Amino acid sequence: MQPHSTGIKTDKTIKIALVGNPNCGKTALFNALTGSKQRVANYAGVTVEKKHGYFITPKHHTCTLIDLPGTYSLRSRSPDEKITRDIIFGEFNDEAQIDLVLCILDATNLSNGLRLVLELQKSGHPILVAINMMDIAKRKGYIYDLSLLEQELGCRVIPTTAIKKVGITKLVNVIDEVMPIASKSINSWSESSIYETREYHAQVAQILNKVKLSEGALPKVSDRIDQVILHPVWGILILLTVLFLLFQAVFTWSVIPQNMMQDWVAKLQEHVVSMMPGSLFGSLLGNGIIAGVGAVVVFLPQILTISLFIILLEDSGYMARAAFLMDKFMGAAGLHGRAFIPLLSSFACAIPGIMATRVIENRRDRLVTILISPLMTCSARLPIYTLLISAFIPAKKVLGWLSLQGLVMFGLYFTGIVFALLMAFVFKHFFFKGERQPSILELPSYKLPMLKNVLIELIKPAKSFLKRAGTIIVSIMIILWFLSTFPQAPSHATDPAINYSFVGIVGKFLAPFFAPIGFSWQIVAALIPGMAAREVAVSALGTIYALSGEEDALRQSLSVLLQHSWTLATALALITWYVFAPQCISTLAVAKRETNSWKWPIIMFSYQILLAYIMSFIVYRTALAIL
Amino acid sequence: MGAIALDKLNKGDRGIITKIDETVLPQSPGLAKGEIESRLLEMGFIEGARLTVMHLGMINHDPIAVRINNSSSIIALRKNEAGAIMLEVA
Repeated sequence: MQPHSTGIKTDKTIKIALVGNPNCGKTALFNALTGSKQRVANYAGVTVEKKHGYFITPKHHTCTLIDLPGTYSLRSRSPDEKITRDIIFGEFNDEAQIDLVLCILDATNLSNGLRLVLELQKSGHPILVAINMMDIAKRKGYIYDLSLLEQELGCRVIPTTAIKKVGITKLVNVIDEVMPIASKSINSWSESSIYETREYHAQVAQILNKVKLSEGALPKVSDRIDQVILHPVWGILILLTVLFLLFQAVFTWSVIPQNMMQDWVAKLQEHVVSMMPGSLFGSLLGNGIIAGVGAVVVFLPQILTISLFIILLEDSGYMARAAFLMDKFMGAAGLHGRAFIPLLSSFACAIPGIMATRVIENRRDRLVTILISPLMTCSARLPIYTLLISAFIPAKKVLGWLSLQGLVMFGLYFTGIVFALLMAFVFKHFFFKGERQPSILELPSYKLPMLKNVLIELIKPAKSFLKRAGTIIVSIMIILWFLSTFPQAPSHATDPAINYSFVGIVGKFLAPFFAPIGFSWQIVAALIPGMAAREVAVSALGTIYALSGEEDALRQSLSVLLQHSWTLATALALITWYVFAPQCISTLAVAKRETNSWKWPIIMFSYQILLAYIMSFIVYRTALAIL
Repeated sequence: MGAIALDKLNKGDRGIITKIDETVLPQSPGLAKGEIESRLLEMGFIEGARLTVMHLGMINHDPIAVRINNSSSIIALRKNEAGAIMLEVA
């Protein structure tokens, strides 16, 4: 014990919970206080991320800052929303009791924040209030008597402009001042009824009546921008332009660095394997580990691109507007207005798409969006579609000018979308029966995103993907290598080595199950390494049919070979299979990380495989009957 | 002019909230009693507050975006929930 200690905090870390309404600059304050000293993990059993940051005060208090999801009250409707409440009341298992609540308010919109402060005071915790966005408030003409507000609330109030790091030093000094004397009183919180919430409203009105010396002007510029952005015609056109840019960025631009990385990985892999010819270790290193790590890092350009878009759209305030415009369309399928961003990204790849579902706060809406995102036709399906379409669909013209092959390709995209919406509807009713949540959305006034904040936020999803989904993907890639390498081919073998491996064995074993949908054992076997990534299926087919060569040449000869060994019905069934089937381990791994449970990836896998089997069966049988 | 529900208003209309009452809405299965009313209250809707209808959705005027008092932000809600908010139109 330190001599000057009053029995309260000295050496011990101070645990501070950061609470506030959405859009009040909470993340900016978190970044301003902790800088790069942040750690992201998962809470057990929920999809919310646990964001911790650290800082040391001038008086050497080590503080742990816990960033809690933005909220308007402590009431909770789902396990995710319960986190805030559980942490504040120390009812959360993997979290120690907190010592202080830091509540952040938007200075241009105090009433919503003050009601939260009043509610938090019932928890009995010492509270600090940061009135944020003071720069905007001043410019708009808001004047508050902050010392009177301190008296009214009975706690310290610090003006801040977190995005410009104004008021942060003061805030940290106040933490030093209050910590030695702060003590917890009795928790008298209970979920407020509609009467109590009205009571809070009345109290806040009284307080504001005293402390608000001058009302600010309306955000004229913001309102004027909204006249265009939310316009029934221009608004939709602008939204389509933004979506088109996003699609371009993820689909076309980020593919350039992605292809470069893929080439490097392939070269390195080749190099390693050729350096140790015939050696198992070389094969493990090259085809297992390097291929595995490569499979992870190639997603980075897309994840960074989509994240950059999302951060800019969020920080500027456009995201909420887009959700407003899309609400009716998405709502028809039971989806949240914000689901269009993840779903659109899923056309490039479901991995960044699933990560983008973080923009949806509501847990059920988020889970449904995650579940259907693999049905959006991702770019990795293109190689196998191209191969099969060029091999089996005649290059005819329909109605004189439409290419039949292009039409089939479009049909595949279209089928994916239709079934995604259909499944969204089914999931809403099956898993979340009757939970029709009212959707009330705040459209904050427009703000210019700050570069530094954008950069800090940009590396977070990339880091969490590399660290957490990456480990699963690499391990699975190594398992797949093992399955396609062992047992090794006998020395007198005539068939390709993979046919003697577990992949070959399992392929032959499973063949009877897939016979009703027209798949030969070679197809089934190729589907297994194809789990690593959909585009791998092409080279896997090549390996199994004992072809080798450069990718384009391989595709050429494979196309000819397949025409001779498969019927059209089989080809159509396989294409259908790829529309629906869970042919991508990385997607499942990311779904696991993002939902923080195996339940949802298992549901995803099961419904996809069921859907794929049924649809392929229908297509195969129909094709057999009419062709 | 008597009280009118928010979902019946046009763009640019202003009024004072006279009553927030979710019991006038059709029953929402799966939602606890008082849930919609609580949400509306938490987002800043309260009897006596001034509302301005800022924007209406393209299809069927849904959703509805309103400004509460002088707030810097705008609140958007669906027509269904807006039916619980009664106003005296100015």
